[in-house]
Amino acid sequence: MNRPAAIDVKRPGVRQPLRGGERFLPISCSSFPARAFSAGSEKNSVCRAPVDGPRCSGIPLKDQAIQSGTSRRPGAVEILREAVVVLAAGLAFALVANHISPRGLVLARNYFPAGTGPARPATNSVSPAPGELLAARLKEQGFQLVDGRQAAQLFHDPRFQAGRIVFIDARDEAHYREGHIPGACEFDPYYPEKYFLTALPPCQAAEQIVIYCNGGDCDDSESAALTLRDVGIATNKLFIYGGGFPEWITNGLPVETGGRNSRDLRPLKP
Amino acid sequence: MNAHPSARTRAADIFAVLARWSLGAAFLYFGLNKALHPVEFLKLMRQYDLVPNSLLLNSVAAVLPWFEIYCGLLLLAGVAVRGTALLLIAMLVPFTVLVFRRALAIQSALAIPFCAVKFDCGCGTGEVLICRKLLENVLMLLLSGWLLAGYGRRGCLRRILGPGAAETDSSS
Repeated sequence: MNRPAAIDVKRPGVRQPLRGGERFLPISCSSFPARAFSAGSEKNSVCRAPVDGPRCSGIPLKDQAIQSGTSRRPGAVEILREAVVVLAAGLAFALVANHISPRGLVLARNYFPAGTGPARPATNSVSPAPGELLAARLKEQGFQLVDGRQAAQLFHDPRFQAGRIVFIDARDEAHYREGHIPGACEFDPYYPEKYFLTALPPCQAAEQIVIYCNGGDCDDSESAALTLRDVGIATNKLFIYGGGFPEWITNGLPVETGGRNSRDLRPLKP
Repeated sequence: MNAHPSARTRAADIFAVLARWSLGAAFLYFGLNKALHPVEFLKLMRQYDLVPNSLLLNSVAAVLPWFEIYCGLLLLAGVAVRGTALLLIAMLVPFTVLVFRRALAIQSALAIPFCAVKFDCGCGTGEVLICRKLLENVLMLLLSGWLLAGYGRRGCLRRILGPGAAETDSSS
């Protein structure tokens, strides 16, 4: 037989020692359905319940509490402990999932060789940065900036057909497939290893490499240039087309969809 | 007196479970959107200029989406609800402050009304109007607080699994 002990009805299962001589303890029924107790069951009254087994209709008090949705509330420490366990397991899950995912990030890689700070101050809206700022930043890194007119001239230059001028598309695969400058090589600087095999040989053979992305606040072309420079492409061969693909479309220049040299030329709306 | 929960209690309980599922589904959706496009999320994280170190930036951008998915799944299944709710609050409060601060910066840069500020905050929902986003976050904070208080535990996995599970449920 269980030793008599006090039961806090708000905390079923938590027992306290009885005071000497008591067989039943006064229990507040205020937070419990009265039928939970075998005696003295009016709300806010004091109940007397045999503490070694307060039951109602054969259901243990604790189960009744659970059924009525008023089960024991854990303390702050218990919740905190649970949160720590969830956090630790969650972090482990997240690291494993990122590692397994084919699109997962490589933690040790510097994806922003130009710096981890924001590409442009405060806003990510479409307002482009002043051209002078961009030109100054590129000059600092040894790259040259070309505008829409110069990019078009390079595209129509016979050296482009001969492979001595190369265009590099630094946007992601989906954007590239949707449309790119005809003959441009795909080179997403965030997954460079995927494109080195196809993009490096033309770059090594070229005299001028024109790199573009989405214009405006996009600095992926800069990242691509830095990545290419890191693998041995001479800095003076690297040109950044600041206006990028949106400007190319706006200027009504030809656009190729699908893979490189697919010859699938389609007009794209600016 | 009635031993069964009143209709009102039952309705509140059902509503709390729906809230738990909604919160879980929302975090699952936000997390998946980011996890499927980690580079985009990384670029957006960079805009906040929070961490100067690329390893830290990469770690946060790599872990956060999957952690949100994990929390969403826990809430949907009803496992460790209160611990998860506490973590959601711990994430939502700083996120909301950061988004608010960034919106203020954009507002002053573009000189537009605060509620007209629209940008991709990296929350997994694309471009959103800031006032709507803040309201969403406040609602999610309230729901998390509600779950932290111990509501919405009906239909929890631990309670469903066998009669013995009910005994241990009080700590879930």
